Amino acid sequence: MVAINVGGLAIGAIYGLMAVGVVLVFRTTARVNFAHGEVLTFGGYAYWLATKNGTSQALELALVLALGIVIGVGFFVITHYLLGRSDELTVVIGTLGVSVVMLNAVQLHYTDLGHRVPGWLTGYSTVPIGGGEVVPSNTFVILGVGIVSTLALHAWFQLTRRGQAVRAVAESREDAALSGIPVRRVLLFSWVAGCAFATLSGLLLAPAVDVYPSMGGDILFKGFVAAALGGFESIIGAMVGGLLLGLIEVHSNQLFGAEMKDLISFLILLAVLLVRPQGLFGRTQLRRV
Amino acid sequence: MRYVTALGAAIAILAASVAAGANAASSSPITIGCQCDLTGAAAFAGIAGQYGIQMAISQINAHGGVDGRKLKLVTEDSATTPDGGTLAARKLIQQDHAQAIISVASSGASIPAAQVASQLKTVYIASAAGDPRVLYPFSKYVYRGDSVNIAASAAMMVKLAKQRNAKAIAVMTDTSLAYAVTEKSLFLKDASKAGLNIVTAKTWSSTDTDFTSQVQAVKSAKPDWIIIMAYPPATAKFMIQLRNAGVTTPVLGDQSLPVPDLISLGGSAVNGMELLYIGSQVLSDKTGAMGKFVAFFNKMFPNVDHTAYPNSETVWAYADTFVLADAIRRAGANFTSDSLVTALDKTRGFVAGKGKVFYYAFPVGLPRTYNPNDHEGTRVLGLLEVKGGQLVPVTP
Repeated sequence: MVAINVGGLAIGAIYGLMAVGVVLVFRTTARVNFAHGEVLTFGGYAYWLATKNGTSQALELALVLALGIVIGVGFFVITHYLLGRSDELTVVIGTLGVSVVMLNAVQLHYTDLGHRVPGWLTGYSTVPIGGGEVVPSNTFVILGVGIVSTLALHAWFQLTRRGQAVRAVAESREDAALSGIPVRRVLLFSWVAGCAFATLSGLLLAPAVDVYPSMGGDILFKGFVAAALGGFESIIGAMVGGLLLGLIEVHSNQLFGAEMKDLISFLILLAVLLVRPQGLFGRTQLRRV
Repeated sequence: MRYVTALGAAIAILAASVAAGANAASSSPITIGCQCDLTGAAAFAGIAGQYGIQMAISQINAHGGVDGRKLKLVTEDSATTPDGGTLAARKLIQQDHAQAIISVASSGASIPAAQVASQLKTVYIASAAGDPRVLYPFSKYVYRGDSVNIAASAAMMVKLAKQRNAKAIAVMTDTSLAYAVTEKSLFLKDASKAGLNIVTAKTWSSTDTDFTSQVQAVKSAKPDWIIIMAYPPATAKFMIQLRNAGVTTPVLGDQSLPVPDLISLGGSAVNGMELLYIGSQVLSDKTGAMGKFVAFFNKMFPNVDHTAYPNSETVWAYADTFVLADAIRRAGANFTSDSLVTALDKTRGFVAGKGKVFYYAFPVGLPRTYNPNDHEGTRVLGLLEVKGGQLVPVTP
């Protein structure tokens, strides 16, 4: 039972990290970025290329974060300038288009062949969990980074002026501008932070899932499910949603088989949303009409 | 008189143009379609197979083509999906005017593609797909290439289980793969007849990243032998988790697995795995025909990842291209689909490189024989073991 639960938390941490990234972008830009999975994939490939070239771990991290910053600037330009006058649906479809371009670019250059990479800082080392079993040390890095970043982001949004400014811009750009908040700068910061988080997630997840073109896309949907389960507005909810989803998956796989695990996960999600449409940690929002 | 002269001139011009047209047809390139899974779970096979076809065609063209006609390759990606297979086959035949298709694709993509080729009366050679449904219901236009009907794989698994005196067997299957679902069903039927004890049968999908449940099921069931029917990426992850869980049970993988990907992704966790193998000589054997094949490949594709390619599918597709070329040669320069079928059905023990015609080829393919009622081609399976990061032959 310990091994099952550790396995569930391990995969749940992956979903949670993806979900936190999705919610972070949503909370800061009020946009769902359907290319988030591909940004994560780019981070994974950057890490793989860096390990192939024998760079230091500090440089690996720096490269991955730098890539995230560059991609974030790109998304800001696309959403604020190129699609700035478009409605929300167009912007969302725009991110879908970007995801297709990014996926195809990786496939064309690297093909669909997978690549194994060592854990950042941990290599291929393992940690005993009892009963003669071990898990990759990277699992605990993912869990640790996931939990720490969740708490840190939550505190940042709630307690800092910059975090509150970002929330204000996401709520209403016009009202934020009237309050003297530099909207454009905040949006740029938001996209950069969201994409840097995505590429960092790619570095952390690559050792667990291997590096291949759809590594991010394959778990993006689970990330959305986890975010919906936890509440799209809540960073903590996203991580908890991910961990819960991982546990639900391994237990339903154990009980009912691999074919049923996705069905059961979605049924549970539907049940939660029927009772709490805002998710487990989301808040009901009232709007004056 | 002038009228007769004009009529004679007109007849001469007409005859010349007909001759020119016929000449043009018999000297124009022969278009070979490659329906390959270049993306998706079977990309490791499709990309490798495309290389094999390109290699064979380059050798054939360098030696004057077939009956003076060069071969031209057109490729469409079937993306490891059934609709991808359908679209690729249609496009190859109807838009690209492929006169024959070699497919290096999963069974899921090949089954509908073969049906399209059959409807459009185009020869289709399934180089990698082992599912019986590719060939049956029987169509005179559809052939199995260097791969083997998975019924033979299932029978081999039962034979090995009895040889190893396996008392409790666990079966792991990727249910997102059409061939694996069929293979499992055939194996379970044969196993039941042979009185084998299946203690657990778990499944996964190609995109799964966590195999905790499957590993725990194996631990609980305590099998003395594990059989895997899946592709390398998921198998590698499963094996890592299995060995991390302290399970040292011997494992047999099916014929989809003896490729370098399995080793590069699985590392030391896949050491000791036995794998069903289709081929006359293992790729890691750098002597003889295989050594020359690999050297030629590396020279022709210097920028390819040589830790991943060539693999078995490269060899199969290479051999199948020569089988097709030989049939085209025997069917004549202006062959039709039906004359090509007639020629293919007269193929007897063909191995390119062993004979006068394609003497320059590397004889790495299995002997091929087709009959009007039997398009299976070959039924030979061998066994490999992963040892020290290499695939080495084992006597079954």
